[in-house]
This record gives sequence, structure tokens and C-alpha cells, in this order.
Amino acid sequence: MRLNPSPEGVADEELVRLVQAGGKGLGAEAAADALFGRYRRRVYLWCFRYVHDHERALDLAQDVLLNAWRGLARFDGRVPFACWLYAIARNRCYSAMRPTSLIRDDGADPDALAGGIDPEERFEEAEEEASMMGLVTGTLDRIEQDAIYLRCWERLSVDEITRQLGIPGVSGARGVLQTARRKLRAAMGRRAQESRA
Amino acid sequence: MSAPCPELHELLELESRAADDERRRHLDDCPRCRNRVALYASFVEPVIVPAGADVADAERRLAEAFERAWRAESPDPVAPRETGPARGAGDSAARRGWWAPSWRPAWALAAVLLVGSIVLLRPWDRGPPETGALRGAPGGAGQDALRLEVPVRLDGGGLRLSWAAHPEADAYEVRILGPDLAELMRREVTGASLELGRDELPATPAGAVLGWKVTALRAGARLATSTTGTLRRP
Repeated sequence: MRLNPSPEGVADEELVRLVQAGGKGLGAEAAADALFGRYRRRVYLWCFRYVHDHERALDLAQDVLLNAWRGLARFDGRVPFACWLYAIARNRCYSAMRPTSLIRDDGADPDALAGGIDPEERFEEAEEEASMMGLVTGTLDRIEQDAIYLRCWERLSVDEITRQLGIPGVSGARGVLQTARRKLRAAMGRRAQESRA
Repeated sequence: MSAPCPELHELLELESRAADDERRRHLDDCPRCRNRVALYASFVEPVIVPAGADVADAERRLAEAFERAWRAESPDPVAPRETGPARGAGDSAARRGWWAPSWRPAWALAAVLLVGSIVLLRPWDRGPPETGALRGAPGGAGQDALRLEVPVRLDGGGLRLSWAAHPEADAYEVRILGPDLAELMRREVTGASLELGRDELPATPAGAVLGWKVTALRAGARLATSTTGTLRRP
């Protein structure tokens, strides 16, 4: 993993220093252009994978890049610039997406569309979902853990999870997610029985 | 998951540790951490361009947005611009003032006028809203930003700069920017590359960071401009 994806051998942090030191003027603008020019494609594609729409992805990417540029004075170099920008992009896309429940997923589960799941099984609060991670790791195999994590915590679309994990087959991540959710419901049922006993 | 998960940049460093390292094992065992690293990798090195994505248009319009924002704001990066007042007690007190009973008839009248305006003007009949005011409009192939190639070091200490040719260009203006990225030299060429010998490069110390930028021209008029590339002087 390259911490600092700088194709021409000039580190991002060097360009950040030039921007921060330059203030207004051609040098600072050119350095900022060089710095953010490296990431336009990356940020746009990252946003696109969430919204699957060119114009919406452009809106998000513009927000990310301009907010990062405006906040560059606060970048202190304790983490690589790419990580810092990635965090901004990730948070912006998160806030643009509706959270997806760990147990119920109308976009992926046909049975959820029929309303066959007890509402009490919904885990809508993020804190409650975080407490489910132990159940996830104890119940699911690795690919199911990854798919559930990407769907419920990272809020990726089912198609995007299929691509990200390289899941073969016609149903792709959809089938993996359905299997994972069945296992989770069963495990939760067992857990509830144990707590009652 | 009982132990707190490391920060992302710490996770990236864990990747190089031995497989039996305890923290490295956490990276392997924790679905949250291993997927955070995988997602970051897909951010840094996106391999797949999904159907419907238009990277060339995005790069051009985002570059335009940046340039316009720079012209409009020119922030001093050391003292960032305030983007809005902090929300605090004073702010809420001001809001209470505007919502005092004596102002409520005025608010009611304003609401009636607003609803009337919306009904009369019917913005939903006017097509999609402009969502990217800073960006340019979608453009044709001739408006894509020039893509710079990675500079190649030549025998003898020179450099070859090259870029993707523009289909309508009859010349290219190449600018070399100094360590502070102020312009040092300018050349005009007809092809999509420029070789500069050691003596032709600006007189800056070896290892200095230089910038470079290319503008495609047709009959002297600008067609497209690259972002600023960087290179290190041999």
C-alpha cells in the first residue's frame, strides 16, 4: 500500500507546504492545482460509487475538494494527506447516504419488501449496530463479514460491494448478504432464547 | 473488536508487519479494519471506472470549479476564511429576536408571498436545477483537460515532458514553474512532447521541486489547459 500516491516523486506533503507557505499568489495556486489535480479523478470516482450519478458525484466531489482546500491550513501533517482527504470524502459521502439497517435491507432483501420481518428486529441506531460487530465476526464467514460491513457500515450499494469484493455469480453480493442476514437473525434468536433462559 | 481499532494511517503501516504480529493479526481478523484498508486502497488506486462515470468531464469541470473558487476566494491558507458564524448563545438570541411576536405578521406575509411566487414561477417546469454553480457545463471531447504524462529522465540529465495530444491543437505552450511554482520559463512546441537538456532546464538546484503546465493552442487561442504537474530537477 502506497501511503503517498505521488506519481512524479514529489510528495503531497511538499505541495501542501508550498500552498501553506505561499498564501495568495501564483505559486500557491499552482501548488494547490497540482495537489488537488492528483485527486480529482480519485475523489470523483469515490463519490460516484455511492451515488451512481455523474452530476451528483460531481456535486459531492466539488464539496470534498473545495472543503479540503479551504481547510488546508488545518492539515498538520500527522497523517498522510491522502488519508486526510479520504476521510473528508468518506464522511461527505456518508452524510449524503441514508443509513442501511444491519438486519433489514429493502434494497437487497426480497422478503423485506413483503414486510415479513418483525419491526422489533430492526437495528436502526448506529450504536446498536456497532454492538453487533461481535455477532458478525462470531457468526459469519469472512466474505459475509466483509459484505455486511460494507453494506451496513460503509453504506455501499450491493453492486459496488460485488465489485469491491470481486464476488462471482449472477446474484453477486445480493446472495451473500441474504445468507449473512439469515445467519444473523438465527444467531440473534439463539441469543434472545439464551438471555430468557 | 473489543480492542479499539487503530486509525487508518496506523493500519496502513501495520500491513508491512510480520503476519504473527499481534496488531497485524487484528488487521486480518477485524472486518472493520481490513475493509477500511481495502476501501482506502480502492480510493488511492481506483482500478474500475463504473458504467456511467465520465472521468474526463469530471476532471475538466472540477478543475474549472477550483479555478473559479480560487479567483473568488483566494484564501490565505494560514488564516482560513470563516465560512459562517459559529452557532452559539448569541446566535440563538439573535434568532429569538427575529422570531419575536412583533415580527410574526411580517413572517406570515413573507410566507404567503413565497408560496405565491413558487406557484406562479413553477420552478419544477424549468428542467433540472444547476447544481454545480462553480463548475462549467458538460463539454464535448475537445474541451477535456490535457492529461500530463509522468516526466522521463533522459541520459545526460535532461527531461522529456509529454502529454496527451489535443485533437484540435496546432501548438502547445509549456510553462515550467520554479520551486515556489512561479513561472520560470515558457516554450511553444507543435508536438505533444518537449525534451529539455540539462542546460535548458531552469537554473535551480538538483532535486528542486518544479512545476509544469501545458496549454493547447489553435491559432494562438487557448483550447485546454492541464493541471499543474510536478517534477524533480535531475
